[in-house]
Amino acid sequence: MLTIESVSKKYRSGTTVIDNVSFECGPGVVGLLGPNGAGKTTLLRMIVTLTQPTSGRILFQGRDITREPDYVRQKLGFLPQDFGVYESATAFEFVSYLGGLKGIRSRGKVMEVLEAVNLHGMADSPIRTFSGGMKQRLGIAQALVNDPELLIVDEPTSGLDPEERMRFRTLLTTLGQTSLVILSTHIVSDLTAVAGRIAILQKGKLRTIASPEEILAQASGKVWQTVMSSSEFERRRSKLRISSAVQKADGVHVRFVGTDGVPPEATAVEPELEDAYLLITGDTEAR
Amino acid sequence: MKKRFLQFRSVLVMESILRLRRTSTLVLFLFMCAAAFMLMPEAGSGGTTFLIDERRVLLNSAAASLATAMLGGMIFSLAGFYLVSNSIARDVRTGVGSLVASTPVSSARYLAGKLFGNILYLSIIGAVFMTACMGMHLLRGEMPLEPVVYFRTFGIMFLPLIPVVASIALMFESVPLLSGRGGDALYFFIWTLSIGLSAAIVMGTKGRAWLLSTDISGIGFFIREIETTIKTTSVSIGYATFDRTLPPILFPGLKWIPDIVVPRLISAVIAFPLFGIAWVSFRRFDPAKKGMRTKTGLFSRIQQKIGRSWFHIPKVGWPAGSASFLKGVLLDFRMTLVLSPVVLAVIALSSVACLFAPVEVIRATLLPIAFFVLVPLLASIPTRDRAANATELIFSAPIVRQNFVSIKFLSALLTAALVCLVPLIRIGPDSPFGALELLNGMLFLAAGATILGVLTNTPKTFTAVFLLFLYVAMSSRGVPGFDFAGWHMIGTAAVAASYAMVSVLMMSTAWWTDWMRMGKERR
Repeated sequence: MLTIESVSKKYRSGTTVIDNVSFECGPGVVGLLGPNGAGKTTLLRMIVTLTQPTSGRILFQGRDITREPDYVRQKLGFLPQDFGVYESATAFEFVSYLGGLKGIRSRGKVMEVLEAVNLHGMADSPIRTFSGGMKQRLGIAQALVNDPELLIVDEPTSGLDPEERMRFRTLLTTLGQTSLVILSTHIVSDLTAVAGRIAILQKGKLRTIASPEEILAQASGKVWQTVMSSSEFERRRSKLRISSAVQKADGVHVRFVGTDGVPPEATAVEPELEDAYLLITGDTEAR
Repeated sequence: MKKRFLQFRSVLVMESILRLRRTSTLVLFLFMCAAAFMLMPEAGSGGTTFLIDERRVLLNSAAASLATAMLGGMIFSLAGFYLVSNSIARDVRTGVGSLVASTPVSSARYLAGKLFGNILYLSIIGAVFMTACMGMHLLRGEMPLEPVVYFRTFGIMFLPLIPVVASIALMFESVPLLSGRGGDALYFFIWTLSIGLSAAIVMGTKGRAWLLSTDISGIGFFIREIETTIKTTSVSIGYATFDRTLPPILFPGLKWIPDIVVPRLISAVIAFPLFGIAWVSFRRFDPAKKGMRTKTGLFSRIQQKIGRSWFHIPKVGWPAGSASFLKGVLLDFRMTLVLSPVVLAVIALSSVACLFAPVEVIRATLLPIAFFVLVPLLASIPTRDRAANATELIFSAPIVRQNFVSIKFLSALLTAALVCLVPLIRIGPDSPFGALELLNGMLFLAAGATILGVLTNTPKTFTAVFLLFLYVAMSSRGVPGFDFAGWHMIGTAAVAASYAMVSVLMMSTAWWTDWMRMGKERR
């Protein structure tokens, strides 16, 4: 369905944002993980034809989208990380507008997507009266209005309350049965729940693309837990790749990843996706 | 085909919705009504806007519609540009652009939707103005109102003018070199030139009516028609006093023959190449492409580079202690310098020039230039926080929220005061009243920037209204009422008091508006 072939993106300043990235994916939910500045947003912007790769090709359903951008735009739903709204328009007007640009005229369809994000009761309210979470849901609604075959969502759950986040995950799972959904996020737990495959980008390079189970398997036997005093924790913290540290009455409960410098008192624990991500990227920015 | 039209219509409808719901549109409607009131003075007042051979023209439908359409057309050709030259910038600023760019709408259809949205909006404003003029005719006209005459005159004036102004605005937004404040300033100079060119075109059209098709503003067209109809070369359009001893003259109206009307309508075709330039230059919101890298135009980028390398803005360490109102004003002023280092250049140039020039030259030439330069600089002071989505951050600081309007006003006044400091010192000893008038002018400018910025949240309104006002003030050398800053040395105490009162009124409205907003925020 979507093929990324040796795609690179360099800016005039000489900075390489995406460096020879290749992967393929079919219908389902693909999670895109990576620390800040890894190139996730740039890769997504290339897929949605907002910017062009410096080299390489991006094929959607066998068509080169850099040559035929309208082909993918007709089948695309896009929710950027920093999207904006027209504050004086109503929710209905805003979604109708973007629906119109995608060739969708149906009032029923607009109301359907507003209902899907639980905004149907606010359809005629000006967007300026919306909270941040409601605006985020409106963004999701506009991305869904044309029943996209390719849905690209960049940090979609920031600003959503737990209930809305659950609702959104369910929505993505449903969509992923027939369409390709690429979900970029920092919130690893969002991916655990919905992603069939996870791609990890770091410094513009693709570190891995695999199923959550395969990624977890890479971390098996490399995740540890121990309790240490505060002073010991301060002494050791720079040497350990810590995935979590919680101060409790009996000391600091530390969870860390890696194979070097493991204290003898530490016990191996079952890895979680965050641990695996940390192990692969070697940093702690996922927290 | 259906889908393409739907895309075009969606852009057009959204554009109209957004524009018509703005507070600034309501302000504009009121301004148009006020303009109609001023452009059609009562016959008994001693003033008129239409003189032929020094005689007042009787206010029948032909004369009243012609005078108001011509003066309205002049206003439109300038203010219309500023009113609609923010449609693409709005999509960049709000971030909706990236959503639009990922849809299958073509750049041509998107721009066409924007263009027709602009045309529709300007047409509505024009229709409001025409209706207001007809309303004034009912009050002050000396012969019965003939709506058809109004429709015809306004139609021939505005039908070609509106598409051209709308397409110029779109072109300026699309061409990276012309976007932003630099483009805004450039358009003003182009407009000033075009007014002069209109007259020159009239002189050169003897027997060559087709030349009129190059007169976009329509002023040349109308003047030529009046001269042909009345067989005179003494026509004055614009506020003037008249000799009451001379009987008024009856203007029979224009001849609407195809030889004249067709070239006028043909002048609208220039909108097509302008649209073409916009289309070719439009970057479809890709920040990696040239010209869309930043949300600022060429002028801003140049002034940032030059400003930062030429002038060192000291990183002032503010004394520790609680926040104060004065500190708020000074910090805001410092932000003006950081964001627009060109202010320092303006202050330096103005000061050096005014140190050596004779006082008369300072008043008649250097001050008008300084005021023209100040307009785009002051315009952004009350609106830049909202444009940067930084209001909530700024309002969370102590002192700021409740004093926002005052801080912005004093920050604008401080900017104007520094530009005008040396002129003030030079004029003061020579003419204390002149110095007072200059202070009054600075207050007027700062208050105008504040009220229009607070009311409309865009720098465009103040830029458009005050550039036009300054142009009129500069051109009206013999009218004391327009000598608001003592440029022409004919202002009176009554004039100065009137402008001071208007400034107070503007600031009171700004304070009241903000106070109401604060009340809403609390709810």
